[in-house]
Parts: sequence; C-alpha cells; structure tokens
Amino acid sequence: MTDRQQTRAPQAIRRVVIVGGGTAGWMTAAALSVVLEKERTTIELIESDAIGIVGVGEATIPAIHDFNRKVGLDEQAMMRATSATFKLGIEFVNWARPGDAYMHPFGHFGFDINGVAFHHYWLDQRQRGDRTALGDYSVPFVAGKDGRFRLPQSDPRSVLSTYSYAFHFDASLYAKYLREVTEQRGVVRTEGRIVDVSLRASDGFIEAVTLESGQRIEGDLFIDCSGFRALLIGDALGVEYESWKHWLPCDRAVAVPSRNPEVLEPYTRATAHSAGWQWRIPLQHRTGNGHVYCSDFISDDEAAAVALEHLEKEAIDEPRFLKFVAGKRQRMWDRNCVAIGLSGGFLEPLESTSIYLIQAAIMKLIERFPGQGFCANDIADFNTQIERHFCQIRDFIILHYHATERTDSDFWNYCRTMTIPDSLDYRMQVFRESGRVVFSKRELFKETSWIAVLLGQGVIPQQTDLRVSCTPPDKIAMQMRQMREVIRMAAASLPTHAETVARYCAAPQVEA
Amino acid sequence: MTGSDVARIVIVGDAPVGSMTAAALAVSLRGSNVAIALVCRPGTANGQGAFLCRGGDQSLHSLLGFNEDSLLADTGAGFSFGAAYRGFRQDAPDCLVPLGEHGTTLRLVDFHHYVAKLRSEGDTTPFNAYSHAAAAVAGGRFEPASERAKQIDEFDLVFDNTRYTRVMLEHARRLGVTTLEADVAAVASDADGYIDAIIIDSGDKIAGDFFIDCSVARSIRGAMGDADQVTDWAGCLPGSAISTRIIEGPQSPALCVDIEAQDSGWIQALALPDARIETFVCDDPPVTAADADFTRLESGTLALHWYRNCVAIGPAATVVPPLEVSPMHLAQDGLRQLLGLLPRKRASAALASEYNRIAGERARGVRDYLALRFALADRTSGPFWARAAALDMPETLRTRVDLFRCHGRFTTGDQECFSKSNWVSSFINFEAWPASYDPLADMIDEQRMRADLDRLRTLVRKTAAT
Repeated sequence: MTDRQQTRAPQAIRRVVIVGGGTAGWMTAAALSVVLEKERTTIELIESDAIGIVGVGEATIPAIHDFNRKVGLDEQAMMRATSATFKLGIEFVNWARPGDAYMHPFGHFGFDINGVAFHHYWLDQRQRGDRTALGDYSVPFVAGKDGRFRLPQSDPRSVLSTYSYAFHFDASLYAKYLREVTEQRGVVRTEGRIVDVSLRASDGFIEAVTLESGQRIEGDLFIDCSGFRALLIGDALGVEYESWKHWLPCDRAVAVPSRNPEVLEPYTRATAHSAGWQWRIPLQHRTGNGHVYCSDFISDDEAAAVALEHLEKEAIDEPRFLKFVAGKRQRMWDRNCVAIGLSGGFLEPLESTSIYLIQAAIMKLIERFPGQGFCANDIADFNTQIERHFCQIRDFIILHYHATERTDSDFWNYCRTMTIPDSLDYRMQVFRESGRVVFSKRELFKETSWIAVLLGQGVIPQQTDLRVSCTPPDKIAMQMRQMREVIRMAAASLPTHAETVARYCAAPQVEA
Repeated sequence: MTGSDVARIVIVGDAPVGSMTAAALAVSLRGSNVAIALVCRPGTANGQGAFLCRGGDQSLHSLLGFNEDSLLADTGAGFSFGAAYRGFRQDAPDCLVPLGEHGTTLRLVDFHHYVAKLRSEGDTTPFNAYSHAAAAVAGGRFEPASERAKQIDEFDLVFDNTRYTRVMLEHARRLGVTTLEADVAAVASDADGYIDAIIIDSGDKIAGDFFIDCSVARSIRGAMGDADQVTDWAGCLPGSAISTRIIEGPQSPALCVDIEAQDSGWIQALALPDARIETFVCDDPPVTAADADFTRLESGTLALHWYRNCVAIGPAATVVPPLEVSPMHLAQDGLRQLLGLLPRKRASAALASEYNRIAGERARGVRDYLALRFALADRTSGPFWARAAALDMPETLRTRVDLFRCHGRFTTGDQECFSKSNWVSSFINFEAWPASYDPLADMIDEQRMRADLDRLRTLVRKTAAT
C-alpha cells in the first residue's frame, strides 16, 4: 500500500426507495431527509394503507433523544401528537421469583465513592446486614414509584441531574407524526402494494419494484421496512433469517388496550406470568397492555385470558394477536438493500429496544452511506456493527429469563436451565465472582443497566472491589444514609407525572 | 491458600515504571490494610534516559490526583504534541502526525471527509492546517495556561527517568510503600502454582498475595516457568535490536517527537531541557553478546497478562518498537485497567480473564497502530525497509486499512489506546488518502462548507498567534 492515490468524488445515490411505512419506514425517511440534499437524492416511500402496521414498541429508551435531536423533532410537539407520557424505567415484577419486583431505572444508583462504583459499597453493607434496597439510591426509582416526574436538571451538582427519561407513546401516531414532518421536507409517499421486485441480471442488485397498479419504481438504494414480510431482503434477495428461539422462546403476543388507572405512572411494567410476561404502558389516553408468550407452553385463548385477567382497568378493544420469531437476518445489508426494522430482525420488547434497533440501523447507515459504488468494506462493517448490537441486546434480554429462581412452570424450568450464549455466560460469571460488569463502551446498555438487572435477577457477587476497604464501613453507612435522604427529599419535591404531562405536552382529546 | 485474602502486594520493576506503579497502587489503596512492597532492579533509579507518557485531564496522573502542573515543575518535563516522521516515505516530504482532533464533525460527517472532498477538487491545504496541536509544533512554543492550551485536547509529556522516579518513589514511600533494590532470583510457589514469595539475590524472601511484574526482564513471570508464553509479533513489526544514546547539553524544546528513518532502521529523539535521548531500532548488525550497546527487541505480548496471582503490565506484558509509545505508556494504560480489577483473593479467575480480555485487545490495537506506520512507509532505500515492506499486516489492521482506503471510514474498537482521530491523522498525514469520501459530504452547501472550513483554519491560526 504505497500508492498516494487520488481522491475522487463519490457518485451520489440518486434515488432512495423505502419500502414500507410504519415506524421503521418513517423514521428512516425522516432521518435521511435531514442528511440528503433533495436536489441530488430523492427519497420515495411506498406504503399501502391496506396493509396494517405492527407499530412496534410503545415504550422507548433514552437513546431516542439522540434520534429526535438529529432529525430535528420538537419534543413537546412530538409528545402532544403521540399522546406520549414520560418513562423513568421498567419495573420487573415476578421475574427473579414470584412476588419479587425490581426496576431498571434510567439513572445511576448512588454516587461513586473514591472512584469505585456505588454497587460495591451497597453489596459490602448488605454483607454487614444492611437491608436497604438498591432502588432507594435511585432518583428515577423513588420518584417513579411515587408517580412523580419532572425533566432532569442540567446542573451536574444537583441530584435531579442523575437521571434520564424516555417516552411511552402510540407508535402509530409517532409514525404519522414523522410522516407529516417528513413530507414537508420533500419526501414523496407513494400509495400502493408491491407485487414484483426486479433484480439486475449482472449483479443481482435490486433494480425496481412494481406496484399493483403497474407503476414501476426504480431506485439505487432500497430500504426494506416491510416488517416481518421482508419483501426485499428475504423474498427477493433470499437472505436467511437466523432464529434465536432456543434462547428467546416467546413467539406470540396478544395486545389489548385498557382504560387508564387513577395514577399515571412514569414507568413501564413487565410482569412475568407462567409462560411469558405482560407489558403495561401508560399513555395519555389509554394504557397499552400485551402478553408475550411461548406457544409451546400456553394456547392463544389461555394467553388472552391471562392478559385480560391482569388488566388494571377494563379493556377498551378486542385482543389482537401477533406472531414472531426472535432472531435476525444473516446480513442486514445485502447488495443495494438495507433491512431496517422487523425485516432485519426481531427482539421482544422486554427492554423497549425495537425502536432503538431501528434508530441504530439508520444511524449506522448514515455513517456508512453508500455512493453508486457500494463499497463492500463499508457494507461488511455495517453488518458487523449491527450484528454486534443485536447480540448484545439479545444477551441482555436473555439474562432476564435465565437468571431466575422460578420453578413453577415448564416454561421457567426451560429458561432457567437452557444453554445461554457464551458471551452472556461470561458476563454473568465475571459479575458473580467479582461484582465487575463486562460491557463495551459502545453498547446500548451501560454498566448501570447491567447492574440493575443482574442484581435484580438475583445474581449476587461473591466479591466487591478491593478499594471498598479503603473507607471505614460506618463512614460508608453514614454516606449512604445521606444519599437515601437526599434522594427521597429530591424525589418528593417533584410534581406528579400527570401534572407534568398536563403542563408540558397534553395531547388534544383523543377518543380512547 | 488460593482462597485467602490479598493483604500484601509486591511490585517488581525497573525504577521509573515500578515507582509509578507503586505510587498508583498506594494512592488507590490508601486507607486499606493492604501492604505494598516495591522491588526495583539495581541501578535503574538513577538510569539516564527519558520517556513519553500521556498528559492532561484524562491521564493516569490526573485520575490518581497528582497535580500535573507540580509534577511538571518538579521533574522539568516537556510537552509533545505529535510525531514528526522524516524519510519514511520515498520522494515525499516529511510529515507530522499530531495528536488530538482535526476540525470538527459537521452535519454528522467526520471532518476529514470535507478535507478529502476539497482535495479532490484541487485544494492543497494540508490536513494539519486544521490541527491546534500541529500549530503548536509549528509555532515552536507552548504555554500551558494559554488560549491554545485550552484548544488542545490531547498531548504527551516527556519525562526524565531519574527525576520522575525520584518524585514517584518519594510519593510511594510517603504513602507507606516499602522499597528496596534487588534482582529476583526465583519465586516460591504453593502446590497450585500460586506465588507465595519472590526470592531476591541475597536469598531473602519477600512474601505477597498478589504480584505485579512490570520489569523489562519479566523477572517474576520468567521465574514462574510456563507463565511467559509470548505471542510473537516479529512478523508484523520490524526491528530486532535497540540501543539508546544520550547527548548531553541544552536542547531547545521540540514540542514533538522526532523520528528519522535511516537505511538500517530508524531513530527516535526525545528532547529534555539538558539532553537529547536517541533510540535507535534496527535489524542489522545482528545483535551479539559482544555488542554491549544493543539489546534485543522482541516484539510480542504475553499470551496471558494475568496468570495465577501475578499480573504483568507495561514492558513485562508487551514489547513493541518504541515508536510514539513507551513502556511507560503501556504500563499506565495497563494500570488504568488493573486499578478497577484489583483482586480481593489470591485466586481471582474471573478478574484475570476480564483483565486479559481487555489488555489483550488493547495491546493488539497498539501493535496495529505501529504496524500501520510501516505499512504506510514506502521508503525503498535500505535493507531494513525492504524487510519492513515484506511484513504481513495483521488481519485486524488489514480490515481497518481496507475500510479507510475505500471511503475514509473508520470503526473504533471497544478497547483502544488510540482514538479515531489518532488513526485518521496517521492515514492522512502519511498521505494514504481514501479513494473517495463520504457521499454525505456532498450534501452540504458547498459555499457554507468552505466557509466553515475557513473559519476553523482561521481559528487554529489565530489561536496559534496568541
């Protein structure tokens, strides 16, 4: 490699065709409309009103702020348009054992002491008989459980700066809102159902799609947002789907909305049942519920009955069933087609990662955006990075199922005793032996998230950081008492979640 | 025994790295009941020489609470903002690879893509016109309290061995570290192969529960028998012999490392206020026992940095040609990882695995960063360079080079000593321009983009003048 080569201008992609609306399609269109100059590159989105959308994920994680900011969305307008509420974390009920509950909050536990992560001190005090809950050291946990919320403060000295937040929203309304914003930016929406995909004879690249009307739409880059159907990446290009059902056996969900309870809680709840779990997502105008289950262990009717039985308020619509298989495409980017959303892979919404996975794929596509040449190295790099994301999140979700003491059903016996990926096994082993969290700086779930779920699921370390012994235990106990008190008072000073929603982002009256 | 607590840590090393390690451990474990002993190889506390290590807010010194300004004042250390390469490329001008960022990301596109775009249109503005660090080197002066200093996010420090050692030893002793000078003759181990004590040349035993080997000679690991398995990097990093020369006399501050290729190898020079330290790396003449000036340079890394109850860091763990990096760099990087993974028990398999995973990946990143320089060097004059040109590129580096050469893209790994800006700066300053640039760089209004770049260049120039 001794040549000092000339750099040449890339030949621009002229036409991007997004196949499928829904959350993935409109998020992609919105993001690309920010970075592509419409005189150079047109964006066309094809969707059919006749095909329903899954509307993945009604709950999000704080990473969505990054997306909304890059796309230039106004938070209040978006929240009003999507009937959104705030989210401070996810409460897991009955996961480690029946009757147990813990939260994965969006914020730190306590404060580091002498550069050592707080949970080491908490564990050390616990060995000495302290019985305070880890959640007592978390603002989002304490405030969330009390139904309180206010936007975090920016002053890092304030304890009210130690948390982040995400949204619960109606995903169909989010897609609709993105569509409005995006169409204003010149993205063309074409109504129609795709009946044919033609490939170029020379290299198998997608040349065009043909609609039922006979209209042929050509493109240079195709984004497959067609959901589970995977019209392009699967049907046309034949990229195989890799199933992870052996690790994530749930393959169905039954969703049913209900009326809101009296208190608007600023967190998602995931309650484990005998063959799956049930989400509860409070929106402004209704509460989203859904029972995710494994059809090997429970019938659809039984699953629906379990879902209805666990509603806090009466159902306001009929139960709706969904089928899926956890897994991912072997390649999310193949030739001139990038699969974004469910066409690329699916992980159950236990940690509200569906929208994040869409966002991650979009951002990586922007980082590796192709020219007409479609550089194989860029594509390989994209696939490697996205696969890594999927695997890391997969491991995090498996952890919830596997690290359990539950022995009350065949489903839990399977999950508890199944062979898990080596990567997760290693993380659990290192944490169990040393209290250290193995995580990569670039992965979605950082140290605090792993600590919340590992400890929450009952993976208790045998050792703590040696440096814990540098400070006398009674001094630590005192500092921890102060932390609890500061957090309790700070949380109590916040307005209720309902008050904040009403003031900040009240949606126009929507029919429930 | 393997389940017993760590109450005594024994460090063995040459004085500069050993004393720094002891001081770092003592600061980290202040208040605990852990006793720390340092065994330095005789003569190394007063050994002449200099080394580079990372400075600034994110440096190990800062993290441990050392006041870097006082450390600089006490040791007379200098600054380095990059490396000037001379003669590495055939028929091409010398180049400076500055540390830190060039420009700033515009509209989600990394800065260098815009420079590549302008270049494709005939613009000849050097990449370094957008680097504050390069401006500091070109200006030939640097004031730590200046406006320019605030703009520079990354720099190295050049320390004198003896003065640095003295400060670190004093600090370690003040915090209760016991120190002595001795060579390690053997280790005494228990039935499981865990070390109980090191035996020094006087025959005395120094007992410990956890051992840190940061010696050039791998004194402990060598004595552990099967613990010094090395992954050999001679196939991708040229140079098998090394010698150091000290030229006494006042020096003007260089503000960068000077690296000059010669037919038989290369010389790296570091400037101290009162001496110039030259390190010469070559393959020829073959090193013989009779040639006292040269020592063998065996590039490679231990297969397991942490083995049983002994962890090797710095020069004991990884040997590379000291091109822009020093054993101190590597030791400080290792320590940063180790301080978060210090064991409570003699046997801590999980911590050892985790440390080895991290340290192994970081070491391979350093290897690749250095190998890149030889891959990009196209000097044809001299046998050293003919051999360097024939070396294999590690697969991990090959992937990175291929990715960059296509559209100027770079993916940072999980564990890296060198940042994306360091890598991009290396590629571009060695004139390994990508075939094309990010197509999104064409999506921004050209006039606006040119104005942004003008503004950034002016900022660098104006700051340099302050």
